[in-house]
Amino acid sequence: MTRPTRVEVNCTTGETSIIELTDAEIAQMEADAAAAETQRKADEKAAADKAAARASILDRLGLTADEAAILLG
Amino acid sequence: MPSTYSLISKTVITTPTNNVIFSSIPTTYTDLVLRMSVRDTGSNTFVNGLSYYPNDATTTYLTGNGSTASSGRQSLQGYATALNAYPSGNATSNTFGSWELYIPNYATSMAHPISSFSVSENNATTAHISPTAILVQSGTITQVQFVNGAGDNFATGSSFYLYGISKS
Repeated sequence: MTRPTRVEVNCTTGETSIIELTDAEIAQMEADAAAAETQRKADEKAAADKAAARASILDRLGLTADEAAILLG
Repeated sequence: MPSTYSLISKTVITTPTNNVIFSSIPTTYTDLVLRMSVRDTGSNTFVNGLSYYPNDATTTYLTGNGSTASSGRQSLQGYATALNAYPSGNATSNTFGSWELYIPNYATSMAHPISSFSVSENNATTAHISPTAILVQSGTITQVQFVNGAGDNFATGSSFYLYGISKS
């Protein structure tokens, strides 16, 4: 399998290099990506849970979202 | 609004690569603008792109495709993620998404409110968009690194242009 690479552009010298990632860089990148994805899914779940709770309350009150917005606005 | 706009560096990808770094950015400008034309080699619609900064970053992102939209916030140590909307390997051949990143006052140690805006391109009925606000809490920015966080690569032909903007 081809090893992941990075393209590094040195803006002072103008030199462009293609460099293979080290094992440590690959591990760090994968850890960062996994952490970001985990947090993003948690954020999305929290938002969905909040929306569901709001909808449940409105349903019990017999109000539409538009009517609730008028009341709270 | 600064009136000068100078090309600092550019690179066009000739072999698919996982990440791109602009290093040793000169501190002679006021703001930085990165304009990118990007395609992904994987199959994701939104690619979880990572960009690294000298300090903690808080991100607020929106994504939309015309029928559904979502938003979220993240706070990460030394990097930010943006769900960038650029074409996947399944999109129409030779299409590339447009992506702009604006970094104000990069050479100072003050906070940097960064804007990121990307739109995909595809010959289909659905288009994708993703605006992101990134607050880097402090630290001089001397390099900018973009990592394809999905573990895919930036496709051949993807291009990255770094501009400096000076006060008028």
